[in-house]
Amino acid sequence: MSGEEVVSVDKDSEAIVRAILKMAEDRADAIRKEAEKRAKEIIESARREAEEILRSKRERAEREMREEIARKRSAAEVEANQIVLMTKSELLSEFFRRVHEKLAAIADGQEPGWNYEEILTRYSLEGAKVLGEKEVFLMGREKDISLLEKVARKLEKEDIKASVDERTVPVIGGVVVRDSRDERRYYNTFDGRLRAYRETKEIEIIGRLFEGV
Amino acid sequence: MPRLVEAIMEAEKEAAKIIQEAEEEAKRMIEEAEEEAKKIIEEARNTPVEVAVMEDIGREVKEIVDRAKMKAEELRRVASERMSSLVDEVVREVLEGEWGGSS
Repeated sequence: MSGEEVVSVDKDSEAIVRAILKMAEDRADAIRKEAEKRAKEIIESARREAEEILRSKRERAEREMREEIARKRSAAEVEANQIVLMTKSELLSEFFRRVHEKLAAIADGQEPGWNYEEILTRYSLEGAKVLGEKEVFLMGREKDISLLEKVARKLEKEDIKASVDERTVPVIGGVVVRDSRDERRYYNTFDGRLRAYRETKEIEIIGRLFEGV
Repeated sequence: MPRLVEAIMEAEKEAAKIIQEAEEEAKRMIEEAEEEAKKIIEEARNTPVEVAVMEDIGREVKEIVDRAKMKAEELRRVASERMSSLVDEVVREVLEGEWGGSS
């Protein structure tokens, strides 16, 4: 091989080597760029997922807080209603307790303005008329026996034969009128009247006691 | 010619090495990114979320109950003013009204 030929071969090989290395470096750059791009995508995707996690946690926390607020508000409203209802119930009981007390005082002759004997007479007469009997028996409290005897005498003036039953009834006041065979009775007691009144008029009383509040 | 072949073989080895290094570097970059991604997601999962308190419910609850207590007081006051006369009226109705008697 001549000297010229050697130089030519060296130049050729150098060019080929450079070309091979250049291709390799280009390929390496492309690999790195692709990896950088992929890495960036991975991070961005992770950030989006993290934001979604935080958003979802925040939404859940807000929803739970709203539910908690609604629960507490509802419980407070129930408690408030109970306070008002219990107060009304307490006051209504107090009201009817005082009515009961006053009826008892009237029956014991402690209320001026009320004539218990007259009431018993009216109730007894009413009972005898409702029963349609000319002979009746009067039953009442033990302490009313002497009063009932006076009432019986008054009834005789109305052409009704009345006697006082030895049996007594545990009532605040008033009278139970029965026929001679004790087959029919007419209850005209304070207790019964109050019970009937309360059943019919309680709502009206509640309205009048608490109206405007 | 053998020198040319030798030079090309050397160059190809070098080229393979360059590409291998690039591939290893790429693999490392992706692994690091995946690691970083895991950390980002884990951190989000562990981050406590603070919710601004929208309403002062404690105060509202107290107000609701206090209002009811005030209403209860008002009911007591009004009822006690009306009670005596209403008791008299009801007693009269009970004794004189058409409530008597069941036979």
